[in-house]
Amino acid sequence: MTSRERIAAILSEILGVPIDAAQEYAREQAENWDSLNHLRIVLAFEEEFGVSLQPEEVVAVRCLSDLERLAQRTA
Amino acid sequence: MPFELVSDFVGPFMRLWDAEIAVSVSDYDPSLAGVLRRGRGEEDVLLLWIDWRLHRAMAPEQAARWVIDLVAAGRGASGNGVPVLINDWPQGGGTAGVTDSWVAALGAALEEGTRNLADCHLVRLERLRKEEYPAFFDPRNDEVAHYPFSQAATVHIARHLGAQMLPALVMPRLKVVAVDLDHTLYEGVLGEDGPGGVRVGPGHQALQRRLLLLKEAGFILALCSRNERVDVERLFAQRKEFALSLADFAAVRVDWGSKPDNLLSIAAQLNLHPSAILFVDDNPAELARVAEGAPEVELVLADPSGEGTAAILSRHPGLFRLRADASSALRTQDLQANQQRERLRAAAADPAEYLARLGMVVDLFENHAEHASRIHELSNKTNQFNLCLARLTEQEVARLLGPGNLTLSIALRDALSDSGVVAVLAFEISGRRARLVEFLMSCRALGREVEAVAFSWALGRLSDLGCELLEIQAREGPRNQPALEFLHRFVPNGEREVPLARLREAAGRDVQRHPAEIRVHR
Repeated sequence: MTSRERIAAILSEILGVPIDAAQEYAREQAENWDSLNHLRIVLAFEEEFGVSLQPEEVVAVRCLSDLERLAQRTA
Repeated sequence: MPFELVSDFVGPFMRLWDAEIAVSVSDYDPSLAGVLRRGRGEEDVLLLWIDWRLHRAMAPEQAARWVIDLVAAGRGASGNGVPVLINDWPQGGGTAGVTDSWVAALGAALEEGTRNLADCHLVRLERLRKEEYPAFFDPRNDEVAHYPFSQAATVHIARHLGAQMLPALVMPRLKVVAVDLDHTLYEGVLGEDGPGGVRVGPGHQALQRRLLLLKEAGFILALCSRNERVDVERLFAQRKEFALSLADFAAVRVDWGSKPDNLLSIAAQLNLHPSAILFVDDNPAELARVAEGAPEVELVLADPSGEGTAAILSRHPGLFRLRADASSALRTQDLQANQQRERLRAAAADPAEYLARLGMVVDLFENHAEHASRIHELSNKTNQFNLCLARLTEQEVARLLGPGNLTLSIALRDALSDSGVVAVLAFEISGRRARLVEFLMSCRALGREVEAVAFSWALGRLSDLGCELLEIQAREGPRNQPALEFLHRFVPNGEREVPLARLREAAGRDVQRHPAEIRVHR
């Protein structure tokens, strides 16, 4: 499973929608990607990849690709 | 402050005791008024999850009083409502204006307020912070979602709710923690290493301290080990680093008998159902034998270092008490005295001689509000001599202790021990009719006919109050045969309404020669 697929699985589980890892998925596409679910996504991402994001990185996450870049940076 | 991040994790901890949780979260409502209105539905528990930082403009005592008053007012004149949980606040958050002294004063005021409000309990976040997570706060989470706690703290809070507070509110509690010795309370084999040769590490000391804490919280400790009794006595006498002494165990089975049989025998000695026992042993084969021979006993596999066992016992569902046990100090001594009573009974020529030699004093307290907590505790933990199985809430106890009702709390002592408050009789009175709401007695007080003495006295008191008819709502439960058999002595036909005079005569006849001294406190 690629990093992108793992991130897509996290987003899909928390947002409750099917997400294709081959496509971009942005915050604006999900009505329920609110601040609470944003935090859930970040916490699940950190656990999955064993990383800890800085506050400015957390705020800057807008889409699946942002998270993928953070995963690659910490790999 | 969102609760969802905590509730995400509560479910897995609930499954530890085969329970499930459905969480319904209200709209954000810092006034709490709407939340309390909503809490009058079918919830089992209402949690007020409060970001106390928002109320820092108030004095801490004022902030606590505001919430306590809201809960009390929300219950209305009926005094009924679901149990309410309120969180305090952890120190060290670093929010401007929320000093540690403000938080400490808030915590103290909430402790005081919840202690005096029935069915209202504190979720002690400050205590959880102190336990093991120095990084309790996470400013980043606060910035993103106005949620100030770290992920580790979140799991810790969820565990406390799901595995400690909620089972203590809704499930029958364990009463006995029975432990093995070898490779459980110490490292080594007593029979081979000798009392001076077994090794006691920091983990074993932590486990022994945890067991003592459980004893202080009201749990009964028992010893169940395949060893020589004389070795065990020497062990506890010699090893000064043991936190536990042999006298801390209310029941001791040290012999070469089977552990399932010994655990069942401990249950019989303590007048408890085997399901009230949690057994801790390092040997999976022994645990398997207990699972087969005494399947209702709960099992814990001990970590030979002791440390893991101490951690398991600190979080095991059913080993948490919401309030301090009012009679824990008396219990072990009283249970040990029961063995002496058995010897007296066997030596006596007849039951009358046995009762006379005990020198019993029965204290009857009428509507004694100071016993409310003990009455609530007895109502919710007594299974065998529990006639109505009313499982009173703290609010119902408060009502039954109020005007227009007759509630007797009954304390017992004899020449061998002080048993404390061991029985309750509660009646609602309406003109010439009385209704028996609750009649129960602690199993450790059975066998001395105190239930008959108290019942007879209560019937006389009802008669003095003008009652002529008694309605008895006995309920059959899985374990309350002793209470039903007692009632059958006086109401053999199972009538629900009995003329008081007839019942009084029958009960009076039964206890006319009972030797106990009776003292009444009004």
